[in-house]
Amino acid sequence: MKPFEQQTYYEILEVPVTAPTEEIRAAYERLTELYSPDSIAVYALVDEGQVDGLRTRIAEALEILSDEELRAEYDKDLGLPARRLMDAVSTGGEVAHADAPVERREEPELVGVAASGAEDQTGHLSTQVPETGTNGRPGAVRDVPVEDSETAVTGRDGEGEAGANATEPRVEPVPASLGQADFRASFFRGFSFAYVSSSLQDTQRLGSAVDVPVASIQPQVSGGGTGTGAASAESQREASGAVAAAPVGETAVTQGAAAVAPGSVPASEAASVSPSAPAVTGSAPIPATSPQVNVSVPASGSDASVTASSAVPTPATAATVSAPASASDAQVTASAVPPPASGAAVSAPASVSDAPATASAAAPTPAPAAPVSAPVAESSAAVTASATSGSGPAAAPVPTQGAPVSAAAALPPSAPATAVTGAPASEASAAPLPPAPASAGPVPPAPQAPEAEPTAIVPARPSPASEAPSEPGRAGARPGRPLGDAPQIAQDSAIATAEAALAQASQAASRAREPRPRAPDIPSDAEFNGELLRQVREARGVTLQQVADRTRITRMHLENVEADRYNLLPPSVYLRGILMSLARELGLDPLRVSKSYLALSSEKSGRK
Amino acid sequence: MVSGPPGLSRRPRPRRIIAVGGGKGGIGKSMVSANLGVALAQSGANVLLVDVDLGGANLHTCLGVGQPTATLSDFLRRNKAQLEEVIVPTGVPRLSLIAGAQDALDAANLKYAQKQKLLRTLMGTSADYLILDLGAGTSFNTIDFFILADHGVLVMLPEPTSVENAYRFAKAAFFRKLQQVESQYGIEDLVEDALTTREGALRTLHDVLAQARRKDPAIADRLERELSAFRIRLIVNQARTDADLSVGTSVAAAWKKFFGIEMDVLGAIRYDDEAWRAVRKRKPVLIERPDSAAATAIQGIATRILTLDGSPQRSTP
Repeated sequence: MKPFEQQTYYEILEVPVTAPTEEIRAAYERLTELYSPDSIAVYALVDEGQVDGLRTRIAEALEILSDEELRAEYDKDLGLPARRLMDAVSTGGEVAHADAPVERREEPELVGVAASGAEDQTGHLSTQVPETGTNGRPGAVRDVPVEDSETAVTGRDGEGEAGANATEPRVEPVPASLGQADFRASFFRGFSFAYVSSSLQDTQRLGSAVDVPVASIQPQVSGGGTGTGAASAESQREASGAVAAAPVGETAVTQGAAAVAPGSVPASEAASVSPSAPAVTGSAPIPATSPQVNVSVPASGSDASVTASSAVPTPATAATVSAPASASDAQVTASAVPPPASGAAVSAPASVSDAPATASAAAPTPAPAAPVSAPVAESSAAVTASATSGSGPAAAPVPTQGAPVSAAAALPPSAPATAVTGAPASEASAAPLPPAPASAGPVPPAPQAPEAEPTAIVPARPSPASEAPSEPGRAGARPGRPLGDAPQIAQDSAIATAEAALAQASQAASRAREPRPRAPDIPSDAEFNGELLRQVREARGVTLQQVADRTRITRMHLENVEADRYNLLPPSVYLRGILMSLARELGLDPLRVSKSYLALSSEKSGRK
Repeated sequence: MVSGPPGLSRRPRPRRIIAVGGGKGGIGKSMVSANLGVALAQSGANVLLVDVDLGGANLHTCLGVGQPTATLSDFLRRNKAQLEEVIVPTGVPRLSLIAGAQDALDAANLKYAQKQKLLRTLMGTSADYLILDLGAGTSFNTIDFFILADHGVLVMLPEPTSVENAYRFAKAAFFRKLQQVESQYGIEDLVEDALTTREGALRTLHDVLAQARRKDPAIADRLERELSAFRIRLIVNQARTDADLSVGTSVAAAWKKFFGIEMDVLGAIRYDDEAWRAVRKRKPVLIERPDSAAATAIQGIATRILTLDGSPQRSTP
């Protein structure tokens, strides 16, 4: 008996939390009619103001619940994760599968990352990814093909143009799904997000592609940013783990997906970013706990400056990443919003046009993926890179003037680095953006960040770049060029920066590995009983109380889990959530752990 | 006609009391009451219909009983009267009637003591179903009978005037209920505040609960349970369109949305000329035209009530 003002959106719409979107829409239609001003049922029931208020809430409910990202975020806020997500998985399954194979083929590593959603990570991620895919949201992992003939186009979706482009060998699958991008980020962005999504689709046509690598829990994440002229010069990180990817405007925009934080990078003039060109992928894992992460990547190249600032609206850790690219006029700002979830790994891929260098950063943390959105300024292409962290899907919408591009989180290393120069930005106006200084957003402390490691590590390790040779050389070329040459300039500068970025990334990557204690070796067929979980926890040097604090799981439950007191544990639906959170916290595969443990539980307790 | 355990001197309480109200006049309360009584009686229950619409009694006419020789007012006026003395048969097996007051000009203005006496006596009858046909309006006399019932049946027509009055009636019933329990929960002041707020009516029900919770969560919980347990049953009468048929559901949904209290929709009765003709003939439509839409709907409602009570239909003796 609570007033509608206090009801959840599900209660408002009178649908179960598992309701599919169609049902939600149907409920909306029904309620809209029921509470319409001329509805007889509410005549004289309450005063008009209240009915108006209810109608407003109903509209809000539809907006939130009909958008998968917003809904997922909302669910998280409500604290009802697993169930719906599982459903989502089932529904979105098809798409996910479609994408998955591609990813796997091309990049094993990426798969891991992508998998974060699907497999390794909690069910959340996996579910969400597929969903986005199904919806055809911008956030979904898609490669945006660049119109340029030269540019490789990744057409993962195989839809429309993308499909055509896909034929090219260079096509890279983008493992990460933007959809997973930070819920919160998308949540806050609200409608703008929707806008982006639609625009993203447009971008595909435009031909600008941006890949955003997603950092996942997995130790190595390769974030591929491809841009013809994207160069990420130096990434500076303040605070603990922040990952910044600095895409350079013009053709390539790269985003570093910050682990928990999605970064939006506006690239000016970014003509096209070809995901397929894995110039430099830097993935920087960021420990969620790090309160502030600033990453600035100055591009030594020409005029383009890329600023990636991550503003973190979420209570979680905030990471600020600014990657100024020195590229010509392009500015890229990446704002990362860290999900509240546990540790986040962030990969910041820098895209380099011609140089296919892939830096893979290992993210030590099991953090959920970080979504990154990169809006591209001036050029009409917006790039959204979302990194998926284990727990949360991050969607990063990039509102750009021109075409928004969604970058898939992970770039496949195999992508050839054909730079796309002169990629036409959708409506790109030639107008150069003033070189914007990278602004680093303030980062709020992330309370929830698990395993925070104060010393942020931006592990960008140059991954064994696929076959493509990286050509970092031509930085700062032709600064004096007319705007029309911007793409070219950007490209050059990007290349120049790429090298630096790679080096840094590798350093960071190597550092990243250290902080975390290694988990005990767990045989692949191990059964995750309470004892094993306890061992893992102790190996991590985490106390039960710490786990309880971070996961918000009652300590009593945790004790019972570790003691295998199956009969004292809550019903399996809840237990599953507990196990997944716990596994995530311990850096284990949540699905595997929960499956294994639940099997034991039902077997021993006789419960189904 | 004994449903209580044998050997007890105390009169068995009627198994269920159904009060049919609605706020507005002319919406078919008496018609529903009479036919519901017939339907329940036909299903094997012993039913006593009581016309509590003291100022406008006409239930007997609906049943074709003619002008009653003994009415409720006779019972109320005489000191030692027995209720049995005013019960008249209806011609329908297992269905009896206590007709409303006829002649007394002040019949509608029940004194407090009279009301108490009537309530006590009615509670003591031994029918399986006691159906109270309430009058229009939301006077305490009406409301008190309504909230005393196991099934407070709210009849409404799918039109604004009726819906408005139905809501008013329902709100009044809830606040009357609150008033009744206020002393036992120590929330008199809260209820007072709520009641004195004009139009505040039920709008403040949440507030009442919230305040009570601040005072004593346990009491608030009990209060909430009590209020929640008081579920109004809705019947939509004279539905002319398919949309009308769903008005009940909509009303229940809106009611729940704003007040958090469930309403049960017993069903909708199609507008049916047969029903009108039956009234003209002074016969229950259920007897006159058992296969008409209205009759079918009422039978469905009776079945619904029997289901709610969880009682298997009694076999006809």
